[in-house]
Amino acid sequence: MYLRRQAIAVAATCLIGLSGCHRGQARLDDASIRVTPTLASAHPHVGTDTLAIQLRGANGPPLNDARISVETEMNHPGMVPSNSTATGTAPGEYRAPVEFTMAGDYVIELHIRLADGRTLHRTTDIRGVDAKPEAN
Amino acid sequence: MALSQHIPDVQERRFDLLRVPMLGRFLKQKHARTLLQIPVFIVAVVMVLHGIFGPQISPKNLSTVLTWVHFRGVLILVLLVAGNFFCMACPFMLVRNAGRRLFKPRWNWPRALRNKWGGILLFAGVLFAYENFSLWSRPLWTAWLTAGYFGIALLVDGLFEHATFCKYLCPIGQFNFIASTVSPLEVAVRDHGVCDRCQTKDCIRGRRAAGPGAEKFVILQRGCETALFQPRKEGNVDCTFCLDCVHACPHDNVGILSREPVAELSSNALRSGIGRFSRRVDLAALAVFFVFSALMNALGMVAPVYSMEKWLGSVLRTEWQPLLLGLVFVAVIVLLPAVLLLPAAAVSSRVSARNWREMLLRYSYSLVPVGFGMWLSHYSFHFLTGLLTVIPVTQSALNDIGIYAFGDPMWTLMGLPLRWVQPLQMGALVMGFAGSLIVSWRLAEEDAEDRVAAIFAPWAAVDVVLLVIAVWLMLQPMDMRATLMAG
Repeated sequence: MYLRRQAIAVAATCLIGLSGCHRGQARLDDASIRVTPTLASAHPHVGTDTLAIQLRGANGPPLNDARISVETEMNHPGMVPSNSTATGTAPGEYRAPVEFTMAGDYVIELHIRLADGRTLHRTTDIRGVDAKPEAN
Repeated sequence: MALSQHIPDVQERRFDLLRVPMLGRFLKQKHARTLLQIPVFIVAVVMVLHGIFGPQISPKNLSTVLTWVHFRGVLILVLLVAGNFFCMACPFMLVRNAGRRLFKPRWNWPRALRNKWGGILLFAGVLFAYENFSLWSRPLWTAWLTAGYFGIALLVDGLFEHATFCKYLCPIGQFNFIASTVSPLEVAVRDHGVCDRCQTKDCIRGRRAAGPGAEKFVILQRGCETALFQPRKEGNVDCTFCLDCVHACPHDNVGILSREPVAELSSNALRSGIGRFSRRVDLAALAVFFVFSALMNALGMVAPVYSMEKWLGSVLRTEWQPLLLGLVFVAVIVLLPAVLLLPAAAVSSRVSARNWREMLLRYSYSLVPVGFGMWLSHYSFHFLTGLLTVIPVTQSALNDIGIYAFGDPMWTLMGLPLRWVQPLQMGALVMGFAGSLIVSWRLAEEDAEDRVAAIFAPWAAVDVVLLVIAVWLMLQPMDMRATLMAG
């Protein structure tokens, strides 16, 4: 009986501990490549927008010839995502169309393959996409 | 034309799920429930693990996808076409039962708490947390909510005897108890004559034997843990479909029988374990909460609520979301019912010359079908439009742990197109509305045969208002924000 209780306590502790480990690991490669996504609209609304992506190496040089696929999805599960591919516009600069299908909050995922074959994954949150353009 | 209700006499020939070949035989096995619980438990464990260790992107995590899209959708659809089968396959009770092998509960749940107020509070708490913390967008939090649910069920039922957690506290259970009043199946006695001759009453008492050593007895077969004595049980309220009564009955006299959906809502008969509907303020409050929380839950997904919160924020000069959201909750779940139901009770009381409080309590149950329609419309929307999203998320989760046998995630898999789902949503609302009208009419028939329409009218008006609000909500463009004050 005592052993069983101990086993439950150990299992619970491991679960909590491992949960913490996972969150730590996610930060490991953050510093090596600088990815700066910026949405063209200050107040995004339903429809097509443009995402500008700046890629820089650890010491600041622009990273060219990367392949960037962009997934735009609502932060609610079960909604229609949209996919696009970014095209290079200047050294280390890329642009991709993003589609907001309805009002709400979005997550944009960037799947980046650098020219040297390394891959990166970044996400950025877009809050408060409106149903209609903001009236000026 | 009289629409007076007839809960079918048990002697009438009714469909009995337990008489269906193979399925019935399976369900009557002593460990059938456990066999149903194990896969659901495994799915729950996978959800928790993926929520903790998987990608923290809601549409790509099994914790959020299964909880907020599939579980809720399947739950409401099964309630519509069958009955409270989620409680039957409840994974929390699997863990609870395992826990009770280690910890024997010693206490009875305090008498003062043997009502639905605690369940309503927890139900409200979960809904508030869902909106306030945007749980749909947080896999980790959703995972801990699920894990916490296991923990609380284990703790409560580890300390208190019988099915305390299910009957008095479990928010999903309370939802199911009320929602299953519209279900077409119920656990019921096949032949009351057999019960009249029964000497042992095992369906409520269970079967015990003298225990070894210090233990006074061992339970060979549990009786009903929610205190529903089969011969006097009516309807689905508080029934978890655990089938303990089926297994306990020595005469094989309990089945899962067909019945007329919603009929129990217009019955004020004395029910075992419940009493009369008209005397249960807490149960009527749960029914009202069930209805108006459906509105609140849907309201949280459309743009006007954000405008309302912004306006409230500007009036109160605050952006503190819990306060603003709390005020919206109070407006929708407390004030709106008061504004609609109190006048209806007053008018129908005056016409029928009956006590207004009794009218309020009895007719509150008539709103359950329209509330069910709202839940069905909302949850089936997410479920049907996101039906297949579980496939790529599962593929992705398998890939993450090195299993590639099921291929790369097919992220383009979605579900039914919106143009197919919207008519179904509308159908759900209209069906619920019709159910509420039928229940109100039957209640009015009981109250005064010569003034049925006059008593019915104010409650029908409440149903119409709820339907109009629900349709308006459905036609609003969706707006799903994690932060109410954003944008």
